[in-house]
Amino acid sequence: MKEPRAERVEPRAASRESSGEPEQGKQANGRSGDLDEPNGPAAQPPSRPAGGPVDLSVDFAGIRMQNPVLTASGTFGYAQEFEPYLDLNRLGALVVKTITRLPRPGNPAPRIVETPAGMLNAIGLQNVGIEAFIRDKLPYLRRLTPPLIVNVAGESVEDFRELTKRISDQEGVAGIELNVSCPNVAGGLDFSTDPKLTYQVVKAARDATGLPVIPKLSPNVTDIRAIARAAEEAGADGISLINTLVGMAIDVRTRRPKIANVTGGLSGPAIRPVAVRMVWQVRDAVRLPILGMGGIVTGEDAVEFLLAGATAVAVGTANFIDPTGVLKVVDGLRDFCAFHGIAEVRQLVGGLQIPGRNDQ
Amino acid sequence: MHAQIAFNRPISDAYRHLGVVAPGFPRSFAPGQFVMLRPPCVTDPFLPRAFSIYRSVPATDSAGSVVEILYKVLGKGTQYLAQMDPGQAVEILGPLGNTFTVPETVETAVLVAGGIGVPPIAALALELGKGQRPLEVFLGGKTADDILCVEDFETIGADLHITTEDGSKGTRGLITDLLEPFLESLGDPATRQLGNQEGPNRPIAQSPNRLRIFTCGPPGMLAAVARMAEERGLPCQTSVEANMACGFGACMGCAIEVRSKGPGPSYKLVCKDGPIFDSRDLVWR
Repeated sequence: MKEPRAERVEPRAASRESSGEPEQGKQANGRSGDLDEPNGPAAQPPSRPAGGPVDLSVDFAGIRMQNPVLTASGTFGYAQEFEPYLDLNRLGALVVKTITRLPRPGNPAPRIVETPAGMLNAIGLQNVGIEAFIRDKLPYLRRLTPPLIVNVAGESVEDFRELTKRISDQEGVAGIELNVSCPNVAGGLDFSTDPKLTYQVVKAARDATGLPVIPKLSPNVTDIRAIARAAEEAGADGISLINTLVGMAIDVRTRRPKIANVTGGLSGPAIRPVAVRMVWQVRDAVRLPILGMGGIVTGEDAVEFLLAGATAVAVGTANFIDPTGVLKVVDGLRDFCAFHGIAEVRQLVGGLQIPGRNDQ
Repeated sequence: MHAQIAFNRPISDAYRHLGVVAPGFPRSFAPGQFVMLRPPCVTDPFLPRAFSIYRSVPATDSAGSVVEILYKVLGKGTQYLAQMDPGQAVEILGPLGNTFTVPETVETAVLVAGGIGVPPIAALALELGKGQRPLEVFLGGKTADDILCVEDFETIGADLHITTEDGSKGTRGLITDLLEPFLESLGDPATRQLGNQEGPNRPIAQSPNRLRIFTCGPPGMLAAVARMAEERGLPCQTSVEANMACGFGACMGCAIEVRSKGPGPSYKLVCKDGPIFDSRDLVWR
């Protein structure tokens, strides 16, 4: 991926300029703070009395957020479904269900099944298509105060370019998450298992918009770092980690797969250790800020991701078991910080301590 | 929403009756609606389970309601639930989903339920029973234990038709074995006269507009009832089940195939568009 590296500089610079917040993306990854120096004090939170006010605000990929807790795409519909249950304006940012160029009916039933501490799904990117999204869903989302990150998926590099362009022409969109990793759609939508394809998709989106571009990567790879580096070289502003793990469950009585698509994406607490590991690995491989997700249910789960190196986190499957789940993570995170005397949630980012390693 | 188990008692070996006190739960629900139930802080079983509401009565000592469901102990979720005691906490969400609808023109309701499909049908019967409309109730099961809510149907004076596969209660066989001749006795829809006619028990509405079938039960039974209804031009509302993660339209997991107007397949969500569907709108396999 050396050759394309030179190409990335210009559009990135342009994007920063157009967003009016030069270099914010870089700050957002926390590397400029003293906590993150390789030999820095990252370990201990500053000593201060517990129980004080906590600043939860973060800057992720150039997007200011009142707290670092987002909704994971595909688990929060178009937000309106949750309105009866919670105050949507308390979220850090909203990430809505994947939009494709044309409407998609989705996969045959059964589409989901429970598994130990999680679930398998193969929804098949059922969605209304970009034009209906802009017409019917966006006006509602625009009225909410948290930044809106629109997730898009294409069947080709060109699709991603067009979708990104079309979305960034709309008012009220703060960023674009690229779903380069849906495991449940036939026709090779899983671009992010290949560094070259990842690069091409991210580059196409990068060139099409001045908004922050955040590819969501697949965990179904041998080396997540190589994919993350390709995304960085192509000009991504942040990285979402992780999409679902491909899994399978069989009904032993009927001998049939438990979901019609045969395989599906595993999510929920079952995958959290894998997600935390990948965030930690990618944190060392690239300079981009990371949106960490995978099985977060509580505030402490979110802290785990922040310590591993995520700047912000997204709550996914927990939204299904409790529609107020994402706010419980916000509250739990604040409680954790207050209890441990952490004044700013940013201080947690990358704060992992490995005995015998950090002090070398 | 936090709730507390009021009672959780066995009806028979496999079936149980659960009541939860849910402060803030609406005092009324419409027959056919459901709740999502989950023990808090448990990761296995992880997802909430959908249960049709059987009854809901105002709680005596709080502002909320006691929501009652009947359930069959089948898998991990219901096994867990079966071991919970009064006083323990559960999370409840609801009432969710759409409802059975009974137009004013309907004179006779034909209710068909199999096994654990009975509770929403009993809820509907209790609602209809207030209006003195003739109710023909068909209950089927594998064995006598599967025949639920008989007292409810008797209280409101419904005509009960019961079958079990082992003959331990009612007629031996499938419920459709009784339903088909019953529908047949109504005559050929093409030559059917409007108005009532003296039947063996009470007047039965003859016009498709005045008779409606409501059904809930295992998929095979629902498909058979849907076919019988369609062959005779009788409207039929069917309550269906699907694997469900959220219950309110977010996960899109509970898709059901509906008859498509376009070239490709078309799906609706059981939780949000259902769980009650016009049987003619669904694709039966």
